[in-house]
Amino acid sequence: VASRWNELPEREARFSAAPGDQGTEIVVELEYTPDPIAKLRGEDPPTKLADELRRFKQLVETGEVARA
Amino acid sequence: VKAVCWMGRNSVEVADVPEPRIVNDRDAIVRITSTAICGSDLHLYDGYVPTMKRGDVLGHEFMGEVVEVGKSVRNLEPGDRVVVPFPIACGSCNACSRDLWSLCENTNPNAHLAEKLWGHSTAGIFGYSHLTGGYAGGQAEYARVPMADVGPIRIEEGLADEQVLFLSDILPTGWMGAEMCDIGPDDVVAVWGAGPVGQFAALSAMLLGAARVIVIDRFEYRLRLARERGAETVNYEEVDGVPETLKELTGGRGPDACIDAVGLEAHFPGPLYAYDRVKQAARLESERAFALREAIMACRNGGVVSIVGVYGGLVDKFPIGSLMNRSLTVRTGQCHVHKYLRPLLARIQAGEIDPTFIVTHRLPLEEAPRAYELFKQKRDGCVKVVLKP
Repeated sequence: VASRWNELPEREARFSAAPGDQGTEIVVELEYTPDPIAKLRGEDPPTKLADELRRFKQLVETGEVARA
Repeated sequence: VKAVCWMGRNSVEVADVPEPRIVNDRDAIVRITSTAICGSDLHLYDGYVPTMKRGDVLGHEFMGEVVEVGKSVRNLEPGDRVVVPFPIACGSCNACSRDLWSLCENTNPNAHLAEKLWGHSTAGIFGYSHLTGGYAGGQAEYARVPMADVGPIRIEEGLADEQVLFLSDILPTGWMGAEMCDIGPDDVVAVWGAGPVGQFAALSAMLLGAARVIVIDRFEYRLRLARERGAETVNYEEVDGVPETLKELTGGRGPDACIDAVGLEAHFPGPLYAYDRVKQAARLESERAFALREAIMACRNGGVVSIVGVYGGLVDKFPIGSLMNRSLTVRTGQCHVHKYLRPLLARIQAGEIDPTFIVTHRLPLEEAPRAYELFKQKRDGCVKVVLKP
């Protein structure tokens, strides 16, 4: 998983094994200025990062990004 | 291509939409030969599920012929006849590997929306709002099926569409409703709702060995259908309280397990109906949960309440005290269809289950607007509509 992550630009992440052989946990630390309006729109950095992590998981586990 | 589109509350139209195309390598395109309207489509039609957009293609019960496959789909080829499960599942995440297919972690592109409402997301679902992915549905001439190497089940010749179509949702949903009850040989199982899911839940409870199955509804023609298959019935408009009636029918104990096959638009003959209906219309609560409240109150001490009727958000007057103090177990979920496809197909092939008895209407896809009204208003003895593109 860590080697796939390094294909992505400019994000430092920590990797650890999840308990019970459930895969890999990823922790990304993020510094940002809170912006309530961006948050309402779902465009604040934590939301965007969560989406990015989710797409990364999709890519690693299924080979593709889910698209409707 | 033609498709049934949601155009706002109480409005569907058959419109021309762009032809679905392969987007990902694990996709397939299916030419649809049969598709059905689900009771849960009525929740969309009636406007109770948020995040629907005008023009969304409806439908999550469908089957047909594979016409094209993506590069990674090696188990299917053009010409194969398939039934498609309504949840989209990757087959490799934690949820899928635990047989919790409707909770696949990788198929809902709008997982962030679902997380806001529900805490965590579910799998993507065909034609079921943007909360569950915004995927185009199967009430259409063609559909794009993602994760086609995992979901669709191939059907051999010799079985008619209507014998296998309901593997897509309602047959396994009814089965799971009964299975979650952990039925023992002396058990009495009560089922709220004699619609298609309730009928299949009752039938499944009998196949799983229940001593008695009691079905509750208000439409005599639906109750008759359940009686013809060996269930006892209660018309709730003709009795003084369903929990009390069930008590009388079970020596005061109550049913060992209660299945809610109604969901968020229940009806109820009493003033509480007006209370919930008004709050729901004003969007102050999203569900009318009469069936669920009754199922909890009626269940015997230590029994199981199994919920397969669909709920979307929040409910008032939830009898948590009854649930807690009487050691009830609640089991629920959107059906993990993939888990049940093969065993239920085997039961259909063996002649143990004939799901065709629920079909009352067969209409061309073009007549979808009329079909939705027939089904919603329970006109013309309507139990289940199959649309033919």
